[in-house]
Amino acid sequence: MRRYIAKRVLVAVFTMLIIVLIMFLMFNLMPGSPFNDQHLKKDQIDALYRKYGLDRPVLERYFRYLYNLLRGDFGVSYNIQKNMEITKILALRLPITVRIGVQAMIIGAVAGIILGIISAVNHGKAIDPVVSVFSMLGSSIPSFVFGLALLYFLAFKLKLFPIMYSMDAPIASTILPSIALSIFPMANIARYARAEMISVLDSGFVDLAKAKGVSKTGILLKHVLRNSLIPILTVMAPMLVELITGSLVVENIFSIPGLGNLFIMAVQSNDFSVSIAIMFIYSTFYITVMLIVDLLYGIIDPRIRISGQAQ
Amino acid sequence: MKEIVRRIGSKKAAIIGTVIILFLVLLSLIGPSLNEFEYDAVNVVDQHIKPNARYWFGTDILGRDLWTRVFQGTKVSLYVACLAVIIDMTIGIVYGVISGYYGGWLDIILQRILEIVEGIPTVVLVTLLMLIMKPGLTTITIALVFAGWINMSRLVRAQVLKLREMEYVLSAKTMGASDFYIIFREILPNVAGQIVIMAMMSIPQAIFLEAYLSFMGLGIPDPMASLGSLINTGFQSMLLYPYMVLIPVTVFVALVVSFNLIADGLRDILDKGTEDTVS
Repeated sequence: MRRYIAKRVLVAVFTMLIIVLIMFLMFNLMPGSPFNDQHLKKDQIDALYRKYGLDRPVLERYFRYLYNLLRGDFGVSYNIQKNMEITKILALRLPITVRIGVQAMIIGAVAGIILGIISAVNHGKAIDPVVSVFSMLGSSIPSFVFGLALLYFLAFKLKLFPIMYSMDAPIASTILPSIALSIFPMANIARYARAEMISVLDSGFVDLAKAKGVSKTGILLKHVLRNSLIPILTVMAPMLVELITGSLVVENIFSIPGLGNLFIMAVQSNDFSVSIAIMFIYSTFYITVMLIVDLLYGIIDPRIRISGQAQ
Repeated sequence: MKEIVRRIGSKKAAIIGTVIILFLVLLSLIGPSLNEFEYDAVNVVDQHIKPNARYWFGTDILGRDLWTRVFQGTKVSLYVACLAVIIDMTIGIVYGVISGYYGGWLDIILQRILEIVEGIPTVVLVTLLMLIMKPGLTTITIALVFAGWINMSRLVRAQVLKLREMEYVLSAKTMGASDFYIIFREILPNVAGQIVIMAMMSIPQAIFLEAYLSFMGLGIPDPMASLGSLINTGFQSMLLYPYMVLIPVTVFVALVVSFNLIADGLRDILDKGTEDTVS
């Protein structure tokens, strides 16, 4: 087991290094520069390049960047907030994005599991297909459509929530984006939970519990939910990753000053250092989640561990 | 084959999906030429006209006819859908077959490359590509080529690894069949069902990716239109002119949901099909 973990972690770290290298090479190939001001003369631009060390060869910059990264230093922003330390910019924005993501995941997981239970218990009755249709729609319609609908009806027409993000009301202004983001995990979790619980409900120990006179809720909570939770947990992790994509768009719709919003700004204004920092965060998050899923599968199913190939 | 057609017939949802898709394909082909407007014809006098008898879906801020633009945009989404399938069927299958069938160090190298490409979140990868190249259909194509083959190659590799060891493959080998024959006549036909399902499932993802890029302003540039870019421009004036976002969103949702319905239906049908033949 230890060998397996070590191998997976090593692959993850190596992947990270390659990703940072690819980002460096790509930004090097990119036309345009962060100093696109027309008033700057050629020698001024050269001076700026020297100041930030951008005149050095790519590989040297890469290794220096890695060295700084290990000390938790992302460098400074070139033109979004000039010379501001990126760690400081991130410290303001990351919590907002994380809050929305966590809220979305909680709403999605709780509502998804409840929907799954309702649908599994009423298997074959009228409510079951209703939930199925909901999960089908929820997993195929992208979150920005829900975002637009919520913004239009609840925030604009009914004025229940603020249209723009306001720092004074972090909860009220993150509820709608969280709901918009939560539909996708909700629909998928409902679908898995339903399938998982129907198979658990069919198994022998549930019949035994019934025969022993355990109450219906007792069976559901103690036996069925417990046994279907682990498989549900493993499918939840990849959904966390989907939230990244969703948050980029949803932050744009609700004008939330989060990470996604900053990313778009950095990308459009050629601010390499900020773009690389954010992509680094996204990739780290993504790879960590994938690593955890791999390890979880390895723990649950020893066959994967031995062959060393998690599918 | 008849059996499959009959089974598809028994899936109402998949039928509805197919009908909607066919309808949208038809509209995207003949829709833009059903009225007298061009998708990029600016008409400053008729700005922001609500849908009426002359402008069926209304006009945008430049007075361009939205009916024409919406179905022009649907065409882009359908192009992306075809592209996703082609990428799956070529790069995905070839990569998976090479990696799974020949194995050894080649497999190790190919799998490490796959893990690295997979380790970059698709959105980040695609956004990076859009930065290096000019936004447009070519760039979207290249972005999809980079991101679209991974799941398929995984599936094919896993199946080939399994089937390679089967006795009937061994017997074909002893009878002197070439690798080419074994791969195309003995192994791939047994994976066909799963390949079709996977290809169908990658369509909505690809359509979504294009819409996402266009929605972020990194996709199809004006005056061309895609559903994503129409939703984006509509969103900016949504509070005043809701029809501008409502119509492209409806078409977009109909498209994605229909493809998902077909994929779900196919999965039920073909997966059951393999079970039936095994037992």
